[in-house]
This record gives sequence, C-alpha cells and structure tokens, in this order.
Amino acid sequence: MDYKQEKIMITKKEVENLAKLSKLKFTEEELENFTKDMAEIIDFADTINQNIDGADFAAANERTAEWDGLREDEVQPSLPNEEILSNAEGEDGYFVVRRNCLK
Amino acid sequence: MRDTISALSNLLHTGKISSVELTKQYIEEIKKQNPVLNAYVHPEFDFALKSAERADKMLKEGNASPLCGIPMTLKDNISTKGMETTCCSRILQGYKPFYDATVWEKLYAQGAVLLGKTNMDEFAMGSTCETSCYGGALNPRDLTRVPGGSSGGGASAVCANLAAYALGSDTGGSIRQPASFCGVVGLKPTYGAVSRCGLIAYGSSLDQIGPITTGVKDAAIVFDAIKGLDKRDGTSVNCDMTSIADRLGKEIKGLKIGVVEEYFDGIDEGIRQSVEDALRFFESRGAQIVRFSLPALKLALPVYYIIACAEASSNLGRYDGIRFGYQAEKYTSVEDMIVSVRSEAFGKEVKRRIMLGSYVLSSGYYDAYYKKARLLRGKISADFEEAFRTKCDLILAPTAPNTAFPLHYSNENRIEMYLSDICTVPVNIAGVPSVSIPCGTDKNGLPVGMQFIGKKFDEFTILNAAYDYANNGGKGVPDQQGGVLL
Repeated sequence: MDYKQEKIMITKKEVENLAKLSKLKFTEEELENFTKDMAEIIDFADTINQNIDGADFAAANERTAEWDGLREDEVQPSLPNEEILSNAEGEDGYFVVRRNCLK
Repeated sequence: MRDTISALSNLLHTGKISSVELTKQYIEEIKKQNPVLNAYVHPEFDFALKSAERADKMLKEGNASPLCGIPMTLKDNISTKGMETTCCSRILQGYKPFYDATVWEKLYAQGAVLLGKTNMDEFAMGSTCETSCYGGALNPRDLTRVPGGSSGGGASAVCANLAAYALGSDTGGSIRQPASFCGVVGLKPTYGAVSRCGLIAYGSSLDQIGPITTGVKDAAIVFDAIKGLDKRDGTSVNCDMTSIADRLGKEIKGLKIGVVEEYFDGIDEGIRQSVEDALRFFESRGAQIVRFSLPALKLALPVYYIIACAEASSNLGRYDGIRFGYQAEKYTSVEDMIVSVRSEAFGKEVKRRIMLGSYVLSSGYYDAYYKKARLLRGKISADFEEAFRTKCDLILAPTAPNTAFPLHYSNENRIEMYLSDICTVPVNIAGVPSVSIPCGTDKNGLPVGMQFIGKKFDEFTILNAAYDYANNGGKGVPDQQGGVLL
C-alpha cells in the first residue's frame, strides 16, 4: 500500500470548524500547528479502516456495558446549594456571570 | 526491604508504632524528596495527621481494617470533599469537590490516612505525566526519565516510599504502564468492579480505578477494600465480595497461560527476554504455555483512541468556567466567555483529543470512525472471551513495548507515544482485568513490567499467578533499599 497516497487530508478550514464544534479558538499560528497535528492524528485514527489478514469482523457486534439493573426511584435530598455554589460566584442561590466583563 | 501493607498493618495492630508516628515518617520523606520528584501536587499534611489520630483511636478500639492507619495517596482526578482536586489542569485550579469519591469514602471509613493528591497527565491524557499543568513527576529509579502516565505521580510516590500505596485510574494503561516504568505493582480491575463515582471522567466506558502498590498481596488487599456495587455508579456490578488477599497462594500447577503473538510485535528485545524468562519460570512451576494469535488486536490502538477521544469530547464539554475552576477575565458574550475559558485553560494534548473526538463524532465521519470503532470493540471483546473460554486461564504479556522514556521525549514523538500504548489498551477495550508486576530490568537497569490479563471479574486468577511468581523466585527489580521489590 502506498502510504503517502492514502494519507488523509484535512484543511485549515475543517480544523476551524472542529474548533468551533469543540468550543475552542486558536490564533493563526496555533491553527497552522493544529492543522498539522490533526492531519497526523486523523491519519493514525484512519488505520482503523485497514484490512487485517486473518481477522473476521463479519460477526462483530456493538457491546453495551453490563449493569445490575435499576435502583428504586426514591426521593433523595438534593445537594446543598451553598456547597455547590462554593466553587464559583453565586448570589441568592444562583450562579452569576459578571456582566462588567462584557464589552 | 520495603514494608508491605501487611507488615505495616501488623506493626500498627500490635502497637509497635502508632499511625501518627508512621504518618510523620512519610511526611518527612515527602518533604525531603518531593521537591525533586514532584509526585505530590496537593499535599494534605494537616488532614493526614488528623486522620492518623483518628486511625489510632480506631486501632485501639479493635477490629480495625488492615488498611487502618496506613498512609496513602490518591490521583488528582479522584474527588475528595473540600480538598483541591484538579486533574492537574488549569481549568480545575482551586476546585474543591463537595462530595467524596466512593473509593475514598470506603477507604476513609476503614481508617486510611491520605497524605495528599498525586501528579498525573492533564485529565489523564498522556503516557509520561508531562502534560500536567504542575510540570511532570520524575522516575525515582532514574531522575532523567519519566515515571510513565498518566498515574505517574502515584507510581513515583509508591516507588520512592512517599506512600504505602496509591490509587490511580486506568483508561488505556494509566495504572499499569507507570507501575511498569517505576518497577511497582499496578492493578486495573474489571470494568464495573470498582465504583467510578467521584472519578473525574475521561473515557467513561474505559475508566477504572485501581491500586498501585509494592507487593501483589498489597494490591489484593486494596482492591478488596474498594470493590463492589455502588448505587451512585450505574455501571458498577455486584461482584464477588469475598477476600482475594486471604486466598492468595493457591497452587498454579496445570494453569493454562496464554501467549498472544500480537503482544510481542515490535517490542524491545530486553522486554521480550524478560517475559520469556517469566514464561520459563511458570513452566517450571507446572503451568502450561499456550501460544496463539488474536489478529484483531492490531486495530486496538485506533479503536481505543477513537472511543476514548469521542467520550472525552463529550465529558469535557462540561467545563465552561461558570460553576467551578478557571474563569475568564474578559469576554464579549457568554459564548465567548466559554470559548475563552476552554482555550486559555486546557493544555494542548487535551485540545487535540477533544478535537479528534469532535471529528469522529461529526456527521459524515461518524460511521467511518466512531461506529466502526464500536463494532471492532465488540470483536476484540469477543476474541478475549473466546480465548478465556477455549484456550487459557489467563494471558501473559509485556505491559509496555519499552521501558521508561527520557524526559521531554514525548514532545517530538507524539504518534510514537500513542503507539506505545499498544500493550495496555486492549484490556480497557474488552473491560477485562490486568495486573502489571516487575519482571527484571533492561540493559540500562530500568524496570521491565509484565501483565497478567484475566477474564471479567476473575481478579483472583491473575493476582494468584502474580503472587506465585513473586513468592517463588520471580525476578522482580532491585529495591532502592536492598531487597527485591515485588
């Protein structure tokens, strides 16, 4: 197999779209580097589509996790509001996003 | 030779030493060595001393657990109420959970003494511990090398005797690979055997908490203490709750040990030699070696990275800078605030994996990558099940294709880093248990690890085989204090 010909291509524009989906943003320079990185990584992920001699995937099935059934749907006390808010800005029992940072 | 948990427990239960005295010894050692090793990122010495006083009371009252009063550490992704838990990421800096992880709740109820939280790759994404926002930890056996990852801090701490044992998490090898790099023991339990409640998620269908220890019996003792069904984790399973530690030492004559060809593709010659030596050891003990091939394992790496990153891109979607952790200074809208927080506070490797996850889940690529990976996962799981049903009782394999990497090696060799997880990821994909123990050293004197892989919920068989090796002349690695560490 000619590895180079098979190489997956990814454009800067596609990477920008992925960043958008991922709620991330990059500077122009970072974007250049990430486009290179992503091409390399996706190329690696694409080895999943290689054929492996001797492996029979015809009978393959998706699996779901094993589990021990459902618990009773009983009302439990909620987590205490003050404790949940202790890691962030809170006011009157709500999370607060400061408006003064908005331009 | 290092004291095992059993030996320390004996000293504590007979009153030869108090937990406070023992804890102070560990704290002194941490103060001395941690500035170099960087194994601990959040020491909690005041809490440790208070817990030790409490443990001494529990010991006096009698009927205390074998873990009562024993100083230990947790990986920085295991939640501890009111104590900083950051996954070694800037995005969680300052975050103090308001509940305890089930594993820590169980250990604390038994009188465990927590010395602090240990270093890891950011969000457990890495094989070197170097993506930590606090800088990586070092390998106590060679300070120019990494301790492995992602539970590198825990393995480094246990190796250097900065904790009697550690809890780590293993998504694709993050307990076993650092255990092998540092020459200690690491157990990845069966998926579902240990509750994940309070473990900050990376790849939820792969993550599992387990112990890092200096001895095989120690790993069994800690596993016995943390296993079991938990109503707060829907994937936890009601497994056999009888003690494994008490049953170790069963004869292994007639045990069928599987050797899978694919595990030896492209591994270092020194590692192959060490594992072959171990196989000869087991033959001399009356075990039967069965060699076979599992071709689907060749696809385990991309399957793992696709599934883990897809789950990570979803799991890490919760970090928005509103409810906890890092906050943005300036923003133009709520959307911009969330994007700024994530862009400023996630490290590069985390961003790469989130982006790969977004890619394999996006329309047009979903079927070719994510769906295909799920199908292949089913195939790999079925292959393991069939092997354990028809061929062998356990599989013996190298833990990693190499010994500890030099520092900073991963920066330039990213794909090589991904490839180095080849021996560990199949176990997570199939959800089966595996324990890594030292089995000699390579030409540079670095520890080599081998892993015993078993069928689901049969931790006993793999731990018993490892215990047999450790107690009947298996190689191990030289301990810094003179003895053979196993």
